[in-house]
Amino acid sequence: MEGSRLDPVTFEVLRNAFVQVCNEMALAVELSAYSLIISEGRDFSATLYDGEGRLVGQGDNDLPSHAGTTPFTVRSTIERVGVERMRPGDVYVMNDPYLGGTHLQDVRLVMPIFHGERIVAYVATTGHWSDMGGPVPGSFNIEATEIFAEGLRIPPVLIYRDGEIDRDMLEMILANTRVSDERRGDLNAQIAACRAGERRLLELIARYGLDTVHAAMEEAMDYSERLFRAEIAKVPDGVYEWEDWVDQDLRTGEPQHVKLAMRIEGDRITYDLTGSAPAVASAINCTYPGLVSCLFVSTKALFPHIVMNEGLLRSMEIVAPPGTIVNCQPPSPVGGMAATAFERVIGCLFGAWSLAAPERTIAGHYNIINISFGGRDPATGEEFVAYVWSEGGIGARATKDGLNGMMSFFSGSTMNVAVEIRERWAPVSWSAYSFNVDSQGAGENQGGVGSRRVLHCDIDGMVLSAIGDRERFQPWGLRGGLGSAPQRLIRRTTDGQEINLGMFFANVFLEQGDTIEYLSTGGGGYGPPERRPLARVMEDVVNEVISLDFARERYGIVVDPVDPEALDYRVDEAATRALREEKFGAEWAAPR
Amino acid sequence: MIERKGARTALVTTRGFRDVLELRRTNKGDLYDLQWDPPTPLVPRCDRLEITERISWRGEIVTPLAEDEVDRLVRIVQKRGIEAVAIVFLHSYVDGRHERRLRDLLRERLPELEIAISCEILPMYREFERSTTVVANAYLAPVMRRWFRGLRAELEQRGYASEPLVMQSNGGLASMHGAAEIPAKLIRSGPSAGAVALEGLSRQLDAPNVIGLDIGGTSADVALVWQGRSTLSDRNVPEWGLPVVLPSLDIISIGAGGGSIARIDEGGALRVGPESAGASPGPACYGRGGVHPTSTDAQLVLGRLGTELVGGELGIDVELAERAIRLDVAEPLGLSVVDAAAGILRILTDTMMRAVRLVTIERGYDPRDFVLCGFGGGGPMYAVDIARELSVPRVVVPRFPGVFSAYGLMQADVVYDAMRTVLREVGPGDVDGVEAVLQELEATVLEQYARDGTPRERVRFRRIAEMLYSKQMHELPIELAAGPFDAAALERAVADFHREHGRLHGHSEPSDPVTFVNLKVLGERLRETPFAPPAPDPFVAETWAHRPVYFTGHGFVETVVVPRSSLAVGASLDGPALITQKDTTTVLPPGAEARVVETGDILIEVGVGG
Repeated sequence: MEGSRLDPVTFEVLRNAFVQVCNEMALAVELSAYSLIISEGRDFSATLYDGEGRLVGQGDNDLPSHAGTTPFTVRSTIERVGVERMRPGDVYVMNDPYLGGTHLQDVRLVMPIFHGERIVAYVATTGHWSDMGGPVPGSFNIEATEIFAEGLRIPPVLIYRDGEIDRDMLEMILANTRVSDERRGDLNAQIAACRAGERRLLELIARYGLDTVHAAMEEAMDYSERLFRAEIAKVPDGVYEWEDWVDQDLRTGEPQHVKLAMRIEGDRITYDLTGSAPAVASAINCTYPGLVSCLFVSTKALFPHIVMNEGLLRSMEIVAPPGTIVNCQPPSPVGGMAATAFERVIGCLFGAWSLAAPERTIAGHYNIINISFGGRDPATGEEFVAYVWSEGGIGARATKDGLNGMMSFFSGSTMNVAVEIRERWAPVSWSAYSFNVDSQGAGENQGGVGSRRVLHCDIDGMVLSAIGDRERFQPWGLRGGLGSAPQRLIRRTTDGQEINLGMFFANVFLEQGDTIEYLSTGGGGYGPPERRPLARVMEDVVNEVISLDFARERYGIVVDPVDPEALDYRVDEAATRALREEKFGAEWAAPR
Repeated sequence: MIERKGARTALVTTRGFRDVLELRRTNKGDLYDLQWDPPTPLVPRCDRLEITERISWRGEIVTPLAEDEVDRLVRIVQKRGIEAVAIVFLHSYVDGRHERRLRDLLRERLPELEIAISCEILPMYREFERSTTVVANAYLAPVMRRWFRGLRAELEQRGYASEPLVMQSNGGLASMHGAAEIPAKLIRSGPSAGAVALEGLSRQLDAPNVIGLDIGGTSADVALVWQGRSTLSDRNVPEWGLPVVLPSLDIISIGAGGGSIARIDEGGALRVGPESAGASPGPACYGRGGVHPTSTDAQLVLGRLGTELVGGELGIDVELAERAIRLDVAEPLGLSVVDAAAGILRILTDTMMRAVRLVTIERGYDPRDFVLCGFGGGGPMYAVDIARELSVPRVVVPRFPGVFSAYGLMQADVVYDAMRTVLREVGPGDVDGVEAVLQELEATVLEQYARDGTPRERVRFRRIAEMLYSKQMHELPIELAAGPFDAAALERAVADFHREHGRLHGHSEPSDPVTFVNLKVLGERLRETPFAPPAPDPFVAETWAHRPVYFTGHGFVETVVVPRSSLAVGASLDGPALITQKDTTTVLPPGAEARVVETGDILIEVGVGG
């Protein structure tokens, strides 16, 4: 290992130890938090920084989309608070998206770690609190025209000193959020986690010495940079462009453009977002820290062997004109960014990479739908707030199908919450949780299938809000693969009305007996559908992952369901041949 | 199960929930890898069937069971040759009557069909984990029954008349008859037998807290005995994404062992494992075609392994080991072969150390309160180094390190368990409901014993409440006081919970309400005669050899090589030394002091490393 300051063995030991510091913190948060989203959904992260606030490592199961923003979190805390005011044992809280947050519900704690008089490192934990106030239970307010309508915005401020929570600050936060006893439990869990991280890092310093630990942090970053630059150098120089659209700005109904030019020169890579739409007055904008996080984690997904830290981050150059939808300025609203601008940048990045290195990337994937609801349960008199999200189909890959019903990689650590738990926490119930058959994109390799859930509102006066996307502009296929189905969110009332609520709405009042069907879409296909082998189409037919209509229309395979109970399905060969010849030409009349 | 060679199994769910099994928890096993794939479900979608029914979490029937849909299920089972059916309905842990009714209807029509219902196998909330557990049982049951039948016939033919006993994951045996009912309870039986041997060791040495480190060729298992008892966990994960939630001992497995391969990764960093050379081709030094250096090769190069391994039956070639290390590690890193070998061992030691941390420090236990027991072929080689890393003061190498788990089997006795989700927020004095459930669970366990012909007087119960603060999701097991669950027992349980929460998570919330999530009982059969360890081996006077052995911080040191059989009870030995026996080598670095205690085990004061 040329030029390194540490022997390779100590480096390997410490590099693993840094991951473990984060894992230990994450476990402390997961096991003792009070928000269902954190403890059961695992929407949280724990990260470690050097004394300048540079990201050294994250754990094995930390929410990727947080990780890229947290260097901003720590640096803005250093800048705003000032190291001279920090004391050993202090913990600072913040959630300001412009200073290194994501949406306001992601509440971050930052703890400086002192060795003697000096700050030698920082740890941070982020957890998605189920409510941060504002007019919408769950704080997903698409109608916000400014961030002030999205909830409580907290700049970096002291929350814990000398072993005590700052009561004034705590009361201030609790007074502005719903179901506030949960907030107290989450905060305690996150503080305990930071302290566990501090203990563990100090143990490492005691064992190996501060200089060695710092050298290993430095080396970890250099190592990632070295790996990444070596990979970039292998990619042909050039400019690779991709574009995509957010369905709409709720104010105007107009689609919003996201555009990416990826430039590769030698071992340098630039992501240039010039040409993306100006920021809008509804909550689909993304802040600069959000954008960086998005580019960071998407790039990491293409090179999963590269350890996630500042070394990777500093190897990418980013051009994003201020005031655009991908680098919005205060007070633009941002609450829906993870479902909109952020997702579209990921798509553009995967799309651009599909032109440079198709074997690494995937076709378009489903889009998260953030759904929140709240109210007061008349049976108990208790206030409730719930945040539910959707998994969906992941895009097909160069050599195999996409994944069924799964989180996007940027939230790939997130878990669904059992129906048996959800139903106890709010006066709602579900009558379906299954695959959204036929939502996937056809292709030689088929996209993964999306999901379908049906939620029943069991009281009057519950309010429902959502921020999703991909109803109008669906996930795309690659290299001849087809795109997937539109996402949908439909309300059915007891008097038989069917209302398409769409992907963007806030505070819709529901009545007892209403059902909400939310359908996430599948992933796009990869390669032309006519190339898909017959056996794989038939396997999907037998498993009812695709319907007979889908087999006929997308693949030109006409199937006779002789006896589904015996799984006896037969191909109508003559009809198939005729149909495929018509659709795909004589060459493809016989399926592979 | 890993090879997917179970019976053809169907799953019947509440209508609308066919895909819970395959949607899993929607997370990814490798967060960033876009080429990653989840495990194949044990039941493909075509065999996941739905039936109209629904019960709420309060136990109300929202939609009655559609009995007219049963005909179709019967036809499907017959036409497809399905051998086993798992039935999992929502909220059946509250009220299992629909599951039972469907089972009865199917059984009437299909008497040969294996049927597993979730309210009996695992009456616990969380539908995905309950589904995988029940499906695993249905999937394994026909195969296990066939296998047990064959074994029993063979045993009878050879004149064995008693009921054969089978080891379970929960640290106890079951009659073969009982084991066939819930075969998924056997999934981690091997490591669990090792943990039983650890408990025995803990008693014999009068050392209440023991960390067990079992190092084999491809993996290492870490187990914990705290206050004389193995710690419990419900979570077995035989394969990522396929949890089997049944009572078991808390044992962590990692991919690190004697066959772990060392390599330089794309970024120039030295990695050891989890890839393993396994038994075939095995380490490079075995000369069976393995070309990549393993930790065993590193041990050999450093002089810690002699050709006397397994009585000299294995041919071992130092030059092959050196060559592999030189080519794959030393030259790329610009190190000497010896430094590279030492580095490989340090990284492997660190990996194992982190696994031990996971079950100790990360669970709020201080390693300084423990004895570390190294067993398996590799445990005694690494134990002292790992103990020093974690400030564990003493190491024990048991008498039969290579067959320690089998030794545990001899000490184990029957344990049956039962559990149920109650999700009951408990106020002061709120005890009757809990006691009633505990008694029901105990009655279930006693029924199992009655089938084996064991009288209830021989059964001793442990009662466990899994508790949390009412808004939390992750419960902590709290052992309840012996005797009826009364106000005092409740008060103590709640106090124990606050303390345990503080110990584990660094904070407790004494003013917040507490919920009993699950209640569990373990019924242990008391042995008729206490287990008597075999008499110590006879002392054999043998000559002690010497050879140079490498120790970190010391380099090569002339080291005495002592056959274990030549160390009598009471003998002591200071490091540097190697103690050899047929199944392992114990490494005593400089500064470590060993003595043979009365039980025949070797106790080592690890001292400080150089």
